[in-house]
Amino acid sequence: MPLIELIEVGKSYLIDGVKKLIIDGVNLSIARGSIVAIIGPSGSGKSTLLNIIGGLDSTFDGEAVVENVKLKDLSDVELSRFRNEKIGFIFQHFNLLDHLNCRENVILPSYFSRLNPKEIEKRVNYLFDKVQLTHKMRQYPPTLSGGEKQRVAIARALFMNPSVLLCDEPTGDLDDVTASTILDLFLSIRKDMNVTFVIVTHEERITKIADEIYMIKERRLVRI
Amino acid sequence: MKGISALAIKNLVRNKGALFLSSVGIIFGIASFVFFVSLGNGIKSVVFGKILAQLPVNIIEVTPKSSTIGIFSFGGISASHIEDSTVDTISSIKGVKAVYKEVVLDIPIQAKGEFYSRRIVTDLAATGIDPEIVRDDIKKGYSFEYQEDGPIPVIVSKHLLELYNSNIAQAMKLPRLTQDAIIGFKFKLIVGRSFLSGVKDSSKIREYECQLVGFSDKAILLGITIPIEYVRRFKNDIEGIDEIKRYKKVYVIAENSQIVPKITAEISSMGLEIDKTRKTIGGVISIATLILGMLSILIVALSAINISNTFALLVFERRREIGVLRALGGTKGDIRYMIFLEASIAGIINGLIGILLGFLFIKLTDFFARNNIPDFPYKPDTFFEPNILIFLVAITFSVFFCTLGALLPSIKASKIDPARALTM
Repeated sequence: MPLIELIEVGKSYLIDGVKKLIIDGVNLSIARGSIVAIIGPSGSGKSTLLNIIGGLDSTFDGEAVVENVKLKDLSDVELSRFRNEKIGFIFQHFNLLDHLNCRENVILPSYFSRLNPKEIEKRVNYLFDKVQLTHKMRQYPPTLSGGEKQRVAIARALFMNPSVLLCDEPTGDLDDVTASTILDLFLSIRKDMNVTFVIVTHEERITKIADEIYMIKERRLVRI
Repeated sequence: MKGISALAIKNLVRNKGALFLSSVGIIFGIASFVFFVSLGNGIKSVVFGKILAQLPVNIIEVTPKSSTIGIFSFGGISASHIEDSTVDTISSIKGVKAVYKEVVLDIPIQAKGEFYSRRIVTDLAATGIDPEIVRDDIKKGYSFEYQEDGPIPVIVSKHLLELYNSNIAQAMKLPRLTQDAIIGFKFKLIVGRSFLSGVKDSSKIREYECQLVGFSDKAILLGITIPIEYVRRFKNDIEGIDEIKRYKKVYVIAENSQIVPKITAEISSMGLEIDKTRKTIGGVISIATLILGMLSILIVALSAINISNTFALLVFERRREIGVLRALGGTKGDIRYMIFLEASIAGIINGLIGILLGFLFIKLTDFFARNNIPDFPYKPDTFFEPNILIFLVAITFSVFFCTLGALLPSIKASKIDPARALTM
């Protein structure tokens, strides 16, 4: 049974009153614990695909099933809970909140859950150790380097023990050495936590760690 | 919810500059609300506590309709009277226990005496009153009854003593007096002569000794009040009239307070006026306080527009951040709650600052009044009477208008499409 399954998924936007089809008839099956890379040029619909899998966009054609849950059947509150418990997001620009320190950024998902303080403390310590930033727990994001910010963002994405990490150009803002460290971290996370990665990118280096690579070509997903 | 509350506080701290600027109106509105309502309370307290001492609830003061003409009421020039027959009718109303009369002494009189080594002769106004109605105001050991021999007992208004202490004593460099110090004071009363009307028949001028025996709210304000029987005697001596048939005012004593409205209605239907001084003055102060209070609230309400603009701007600036919170599992309700909480906390803080500022204005005004406004009758130690209820209402208004201001922005925030916000 695949962890993620997309069946004939399509998405269009209204731009200046004209309906523009972004993706069409997308079928995808992803097994638990795998790393899948989706490549394609800018504007090809890679991020749209991530938003659909992550429950951020529920107005699409076709069917999206994650962990046996049909996303289109969920209400806004159920979708929010789904994102909170099952999905971790990693963004190109990190999206950390600058007025919160690193620890507060990492525990943000717990604000929307019922985790007890003891469990929160345990997870924080584990994750900061995992991303090797325990010494910077009380620092604020603007004082960190790009690589450190992305490691904090990864810790935040992992905080609720998600099944899936959705990564949108996770190394796009990083230099080669730092990007390589982040990719090593991904492999380590997959090994320790059996997390499934869906990474959209246009960088070739990411494809090297991927188990499967797909490309969006003329609105359709093609395995390469 | 605890986490969202912590987040709301952090957001407020981050945006404190913008929020403070947009909150200035609310802070000043709340400060003026506290100031004006406390002022209204303070003035009411002085007027009702000191100037208009409460009458027992079963006493009704009845006067003829428009019986007096403005300030001349003190001098005793009356436009109409209550006739003897009317008094009889009032007495027959069911539930009326007694009717006590008050009459104006419409004969020229003067007071003559020595007061702190100064000889004083002055024209005087006087009324006569049934002794029974002022019995409780007579100093122990003195009598307020008619007697053939001995000094005429006199009562004066408490307000007259206050007027003397705050103005006359200061102007004439005389000592201030207490009620106890002046009780028993004697002076001469010359009946049948005054500076104003001169002497009509010098053979009829009489001189009597008077003695102050008490202070009463029922005494005439600028003059003396004596037992009504003396008025009859003076009129007989000077004008040869042996009976009194017309009265300035009557005090109607009801059997109990429950029957007062019924008696009042019957008396009003006879074309007579019920004394509404307390009600009128109370109403004027209440309306003035209400208007000033409403103006303050209007300031707060208008400031809510500022708050609304600020929150709308903050929500616009925080679209991406709201998108992140939604991606991490925040529901639309969580986002609304967070913005509302920020507005509520801002409201509480604004309210507290407003109350402190209002309190500061109160203290400054009192300080200014103490040191710069000359003494006047019933000048209080403080013009203000703030209380916990005023503070609670102020905080409630502040929170209400801050959250009202944040209502639309919070709804807008919750409707932000997270997928689009994250691409901005």
